[in-house]
Amino acid sequence: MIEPGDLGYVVPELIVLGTALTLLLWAAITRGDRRWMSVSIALAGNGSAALMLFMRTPADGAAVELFAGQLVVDGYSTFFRTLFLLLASLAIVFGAQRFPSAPLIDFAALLQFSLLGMMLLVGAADWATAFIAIETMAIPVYVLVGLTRFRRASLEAAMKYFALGAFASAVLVYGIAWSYGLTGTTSLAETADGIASRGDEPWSLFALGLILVALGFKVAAVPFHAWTPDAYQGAPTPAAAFVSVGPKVAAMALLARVVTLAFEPLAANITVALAVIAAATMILGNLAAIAQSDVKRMLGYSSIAHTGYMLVGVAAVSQTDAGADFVGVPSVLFYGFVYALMTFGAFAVAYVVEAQTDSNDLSAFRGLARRSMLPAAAMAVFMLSLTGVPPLSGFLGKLYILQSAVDAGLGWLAVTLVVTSVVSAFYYLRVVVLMFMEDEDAPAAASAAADAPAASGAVADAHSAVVAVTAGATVAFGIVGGGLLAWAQAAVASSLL
Amino acid sequence: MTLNGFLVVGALIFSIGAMGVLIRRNAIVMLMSIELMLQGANVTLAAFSAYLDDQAGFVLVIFSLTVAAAEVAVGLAILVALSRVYPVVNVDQLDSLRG
Repeated sequence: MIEPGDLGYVVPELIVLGTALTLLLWAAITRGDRRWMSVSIALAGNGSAALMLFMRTPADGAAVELFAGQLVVDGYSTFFRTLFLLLASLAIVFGAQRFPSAPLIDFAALLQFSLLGMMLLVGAADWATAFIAIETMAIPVYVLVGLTRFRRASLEAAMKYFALGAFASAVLVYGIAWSYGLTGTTSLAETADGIASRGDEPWSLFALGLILVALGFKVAAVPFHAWTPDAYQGAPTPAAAFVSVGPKVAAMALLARVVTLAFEPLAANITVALAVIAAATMILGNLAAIAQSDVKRMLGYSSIAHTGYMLVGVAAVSQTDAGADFVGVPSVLFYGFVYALMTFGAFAVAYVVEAQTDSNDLSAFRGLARRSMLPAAAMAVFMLSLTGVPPLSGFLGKLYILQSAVDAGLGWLAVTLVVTSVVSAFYYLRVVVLMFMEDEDAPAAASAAADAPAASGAVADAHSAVVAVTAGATVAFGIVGGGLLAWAQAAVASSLL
Repeated sequence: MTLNGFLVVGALIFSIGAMGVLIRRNAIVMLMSIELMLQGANVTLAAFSAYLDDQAGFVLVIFSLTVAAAEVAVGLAILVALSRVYPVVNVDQLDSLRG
């Protein structure tokens, strides 16, 4: 039942909600330059939320069910909530570089609302919470993509993202309706009992299929990926950076919880379905990325490919006598964490180039190492890590996922992952080659120097800090990734899965 | 009517909406089709809820109606902003983003 003490466990979420409302109020009652205040409010809120997150985590690490089984606080949700608080904080600093005062405060408020949805989503233990949380996460993000509302590309991206996102939500509700009708419950844990008593009859598979399609849209898996490159290319770069990591990883977290908890009795069918989707996603994402000339669009296809890698981890199920064992979930947590940091960093560097040359074209990266060494070095780290070159964190992430795929007997999927990673080296390393080994075109350099907007010192330093933090984490987790993996394993072990 | 009758109606409304999103190219009609899909899902939820004599489904219908309202408000706002910058009726005109 609902206990008054339950509220104590959601203090981080309440703080995030409070900052979002404060920012809206602040936007309404003040005039003038509010950039400093927007960033301060959001960062202070996220910082104290992170503090409360660790103070309120149950000491024994056990899962605590709240609000009559609607929400669960466990290691799994704490792992992801930590990541999301970090990402939202990085995104607001990034946004301060891009937006003037008025859009920035909107950006910050929308970001906090979306963050609230993501934090609730990873703790959802009931379809009602999951649905509300996924919408709380997604609706502000549609606006974030269209935030530069005088640019046609931005609004066009928002419209496409919205249309497919809303379509996916409708499919999700329909899937939830069938799951509820078949099992008589909306609780994820009890759904498993209902599904188990029915076995893999066609209607159970129908409900599962609808839910997988809806979540496939949210994580951008092939064939539901079409919105991704358009949304990232058209969105203002800080919004694209956030959208490519936050909502995607949150939806992946829900997907992993749903297949391991609610539809656990159908694990054999899930493995087949997800393995096929994962293979198609890796192949198509990587091949399409090769043909791109816009860096944000390339990162869009790259993020589709990385969805495929994570899906391999979710699909890795080994059948034991005691039932299905989802051996790959800890590696998905690890990969989600390092993927988020390296992709976010890549967008942050893409913005450095965009500010210098007013272009997102790959050719703008030509000779970046001569213009600005540090962003170029960081970009090289991100690109090599996304390729999966040791000793960077992307390599360890792929290694753990490969191990779980092999353990689960999905050898062909592991081979696909390796081959597509080799293909991906072509387009990732092309950026490195452009930055370090080619000279920039002389006229472009001259105009770039003249047009470069004079960002104020503190803001530019903060942006460099975003790049440095993500690059540092990408290197650090590659060297000492064992600690993060141990945390991911503990998170899964202590969860409701 | 039996449970099956309601489920067939729900499935029909949902499918008509899904077809509308996939086939029709008018942006407003697409938004209306998404609403149809949600209502088809709501009919299904309500039918199951009544059949199972359980309140959870009805509660979910209320939530989904509220969320759908919030969602379509954002969708229409994006469409209005878009048509100020670039008069658009047909979604095939949204072609400035290309690889």
